Amino acid sequence: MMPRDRDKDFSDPDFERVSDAYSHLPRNEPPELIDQAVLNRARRAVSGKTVRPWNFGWMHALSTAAILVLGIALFLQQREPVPQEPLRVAKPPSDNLRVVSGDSRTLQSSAKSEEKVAASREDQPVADPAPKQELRQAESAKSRNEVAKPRIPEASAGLSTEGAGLSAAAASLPAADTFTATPAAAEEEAPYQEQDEPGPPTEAEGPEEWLKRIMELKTQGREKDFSRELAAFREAWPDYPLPAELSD
Amino acid sequence: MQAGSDEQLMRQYAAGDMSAFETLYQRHRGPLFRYISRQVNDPATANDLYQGTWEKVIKARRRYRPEAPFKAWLYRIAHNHVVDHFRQQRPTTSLDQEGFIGSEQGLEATLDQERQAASLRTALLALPPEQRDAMLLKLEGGFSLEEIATMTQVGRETVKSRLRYAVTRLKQVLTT
Repeated sequence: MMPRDRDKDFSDPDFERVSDAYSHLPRNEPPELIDQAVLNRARRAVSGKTVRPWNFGWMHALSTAAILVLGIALFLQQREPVPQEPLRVAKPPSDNLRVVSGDSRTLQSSAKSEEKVAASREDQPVADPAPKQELRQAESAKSRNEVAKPRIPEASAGLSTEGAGLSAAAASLPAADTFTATPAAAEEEAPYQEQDEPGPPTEAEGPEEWLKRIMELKTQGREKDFSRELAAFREAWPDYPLPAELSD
Repeated sequence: MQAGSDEQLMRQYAAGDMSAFETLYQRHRGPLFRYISRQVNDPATANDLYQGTWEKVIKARRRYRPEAPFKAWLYRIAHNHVVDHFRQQRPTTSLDQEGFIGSEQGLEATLDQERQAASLRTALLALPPEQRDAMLLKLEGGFSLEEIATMTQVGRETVKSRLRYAVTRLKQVLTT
């Protein structure tokens, strides 16, 4: 039975007829499955509080364990020492000229002289400049003889002859200015420089020394090493004029 | 089954009393299902909309205020759910045209009570959604003009005119 019209404002006789006809329509009901689904959903909504703590606790414990594992892994990873790269030391020049300072371009002694210097440095304190000056003079004298031997490009040739003169002047300078720790350091690094791969030159090896080494590689026919060293030189000294034999 | 008003039962259910919801559900399942099913032409869609309406009622159980009548609150949820469904569907003009054509064909035949009911159902589906909704809230829900206006968020006079137009259309089916 249909509910009666509660509105006196809407007193339409046709509406009553429609309402009567509507009451004869089939009284459709929701399917039983839908009823069960709705009731189950309503039951879960109010009874879920007793079930959820278990599920939530399980997930909570799992997430906590995962965080702990990640934290421990990160901690252990931080404690591992970072592998350091092997020291790259330039190849020790056997009979090359070595520059102490870039400005003076002083030509120093050969390796043997450097060994003597290194030995003397170990025995004598740094504050004792006198013996070093004597050694320096001996070194400069030797270097003057060796200036003419290597094939030095024109640009640096003048520097080399000039450097011979400068070396004498440099010898008179205090040891602290001309004789830095680089020769000894270079000497210490020398054993490590014998590598096939080209490395950046040490501070003691100037561009001329390096070029000389590159020229030797070329004359020896070691094209691969020559190309590699030349590329490294170009990268380190991009504006340094190359000798005619090396500039292609 | 529990006794008590719909508002009390809903409050009890919000507090966790499942039996209160079962009583509520038994009271309103039939009319609500008919209100929804007679607005769509597909039983499966009607089932989905019906179940979705109760889903929303369950989720909103804590937000229900006892000061508002539960029945009006329930049918407002159902109305909004049906409107959202129609918004996502294609325009209802095609459905109305099909229903209208069907009702025209029904008018030519001699109608006994069963066929008249079938024609009435077809004619209901052929009504514009707003008129159909107002008519079903009136016929199935038994709501007043004020309550229908509140639920559909229109003026009282608008509801009145919608009902008048709907009655005029449905009367044509019955008289022919």
